[in-house]
Amino acid sequence: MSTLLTPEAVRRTDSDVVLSARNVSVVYDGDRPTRAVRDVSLDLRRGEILGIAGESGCGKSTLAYALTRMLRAPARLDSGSLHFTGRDGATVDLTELDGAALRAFRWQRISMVFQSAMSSLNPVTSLARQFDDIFRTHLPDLPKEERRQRAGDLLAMVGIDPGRIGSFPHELSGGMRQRVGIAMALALDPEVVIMDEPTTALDVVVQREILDEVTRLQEERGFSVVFITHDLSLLMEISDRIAVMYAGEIAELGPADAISTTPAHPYSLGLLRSFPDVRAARRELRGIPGNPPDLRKPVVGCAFAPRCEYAFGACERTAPQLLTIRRTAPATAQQDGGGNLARCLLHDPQARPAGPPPELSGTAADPGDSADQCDPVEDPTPTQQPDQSPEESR
Amino acid sequence: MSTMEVKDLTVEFRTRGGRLRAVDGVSLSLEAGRTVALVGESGSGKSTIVRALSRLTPTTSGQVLLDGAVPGQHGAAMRAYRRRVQMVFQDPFASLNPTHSVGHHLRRPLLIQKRVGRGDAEQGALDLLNSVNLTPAADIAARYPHELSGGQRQRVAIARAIATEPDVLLADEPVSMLDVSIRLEILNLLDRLKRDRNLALLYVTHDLATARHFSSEVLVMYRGEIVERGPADDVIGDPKHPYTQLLASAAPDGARSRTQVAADRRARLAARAADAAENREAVSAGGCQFRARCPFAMDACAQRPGDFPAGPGRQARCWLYADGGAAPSASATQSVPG
Repeated sequence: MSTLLTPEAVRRTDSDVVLSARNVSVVYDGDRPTRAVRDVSLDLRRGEILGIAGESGCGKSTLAYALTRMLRAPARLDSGSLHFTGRDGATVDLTELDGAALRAFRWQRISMVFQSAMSSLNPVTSLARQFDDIFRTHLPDLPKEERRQRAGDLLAMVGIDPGRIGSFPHELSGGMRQRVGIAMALALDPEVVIMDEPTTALDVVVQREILDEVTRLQEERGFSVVFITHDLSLLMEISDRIAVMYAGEIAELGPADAISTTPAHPYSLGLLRSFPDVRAARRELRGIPGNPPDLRKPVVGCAFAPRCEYAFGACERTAPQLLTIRRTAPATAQQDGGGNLARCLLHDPQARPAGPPPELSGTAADPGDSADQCDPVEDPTPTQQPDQSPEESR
Repeated sequence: MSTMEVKDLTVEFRTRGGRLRAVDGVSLSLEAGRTVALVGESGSGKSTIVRALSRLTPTTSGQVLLDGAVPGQHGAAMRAYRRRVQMVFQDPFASLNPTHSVGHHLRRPLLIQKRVGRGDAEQGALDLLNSVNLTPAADIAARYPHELSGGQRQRVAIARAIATEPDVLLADEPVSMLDVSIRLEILNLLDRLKRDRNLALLYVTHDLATARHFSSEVLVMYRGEIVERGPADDVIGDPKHPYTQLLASAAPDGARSRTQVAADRRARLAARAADAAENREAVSAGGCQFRARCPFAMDACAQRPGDFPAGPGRQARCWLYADGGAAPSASATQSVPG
């Protein structure tokens, strides 16, 4: 086990990438294969919180399972490369890992916090046994007393009385169970923690406590976080950068501040507008009419075009590439090497020769009554299915 | 006169550990064409109120009046009550019968409650689908629930609820199971139906932001009691009861700057540090229910507080307001220890 690093030692450096995904595609095999993740490239920097946002079925969880090499049939990593660079500087090709090497890697270097703490904990054994499982698998030489001691320390670290180590999951409240889930994910001091909707099932007050805990631990211990949720307003609070996913692709990627103030993709704008502000003035509220596309069919043109109020002729034919959005931007964007990346033809001067793209903003263009417009009914997509990895559905 | 007037509603459940009072002396009134939001955390008794008002759970004591009269409990009176008070459930995946078509779900209330003929029921079902923007109606009516998306299913559930032309619609977390992108459309639909049909709407939710935007009055529930009530903007924007202040400060707010977020977080963590997670969830026996978690707790709190006035049209069940509302009022952005 690597030693615990001080915050100074792991100070963020933008060039320091811990996990790098290039052109990752994931397919759910079947009669009509579902292309759940399509050509995603992403860098996770050391010590950053990277948020992944999007509707259900957009590939958030599938991507997370691909990053951790936890995909199970029928899901399959179709193409792409995954590289992990440890604190020691050594780079590991994750797609090459197999058997014992893969088992040793998982949880020790990359761990995960699952959405449902009730189903990720074993209901018939005590917390002590479950912590023991982790230590006995990964640190077989650790004596029993020390295992017990460490488990207690981990509980204390997430704000639970170490005396509760003999408890069973049903004896804990939902918030405490999720704290245990976080303690387990941090048991081996990993460098990357993937959090898959860790607060979605929780109450707003408990959610706040868990988020505070996550950000505190992240600052203290310096691990990197991939935080997956559909709640963009929550991501804007906690993340350094946000990737907005749509139809298995990255629609927009950029610093959290830039996405919240100047979203460059109409889908990001739609997501932002889907959350009314608790405090700001009342305004007309609308979601994003329509459904995400069926990924069992080939996507022609821009995947978001049928739901997009800014769509124009070329969107139906031309698949947009991720473009760098140049702005006379705040300092954060410069540090980041140019600001947002957005997959939208509005920003492509060749596709849209009629002058500069319109400024997308939270209050722009509200075409009245369309808020009540119905979902298109021609093709009800079972949107839950592609996002559900076998791990979750068990 | 209120469409529905609830006085001192109490619901107890028998458990192995004795009697559990899930709803404790709740009074509220619902007016035609207005939305009242009921907010609170899981387990606070929100859904039990809704189930009691739709007569799915027996009440222990208290009164429910419709248009000022006490409705009957049996036979035709019971059926009339059910016609007038309808409900939309949280989970549209569980509230529709998977073995019946959408049309069947909508024809049943028309046949049973409205006593229309077969042919009229057929047409009525299509009209209902159109009124919730599910088109083409004939195509949808022939489908089964599994062929619809979550949002479409919830539209069917709403169509079923308005089929009997109710006066009161109880919506129990109608969008919390739905995808973010379609939540507002469903809430806008409920809002439009409320206006068009002059419904008295009770919107149960744990989401303060939508509670504020879609209702005129907000009731805040904590452990079976209504601890604060008042106009929606006032209650959410300037909460009086310490519990409401805690709720408001916990709601995600993407508009705050990163440094402010970090400062708030440090303040909360410091305030919480002394207290283990489980202590914060402890229940106080007797007195104010929120006492164990309350940053302003004082000796008086060992006694049960009454509803004290806390501003125009507002009440808070908190001793801080016993002298007429001069108490410390944390602004919404101030962080309140948990």
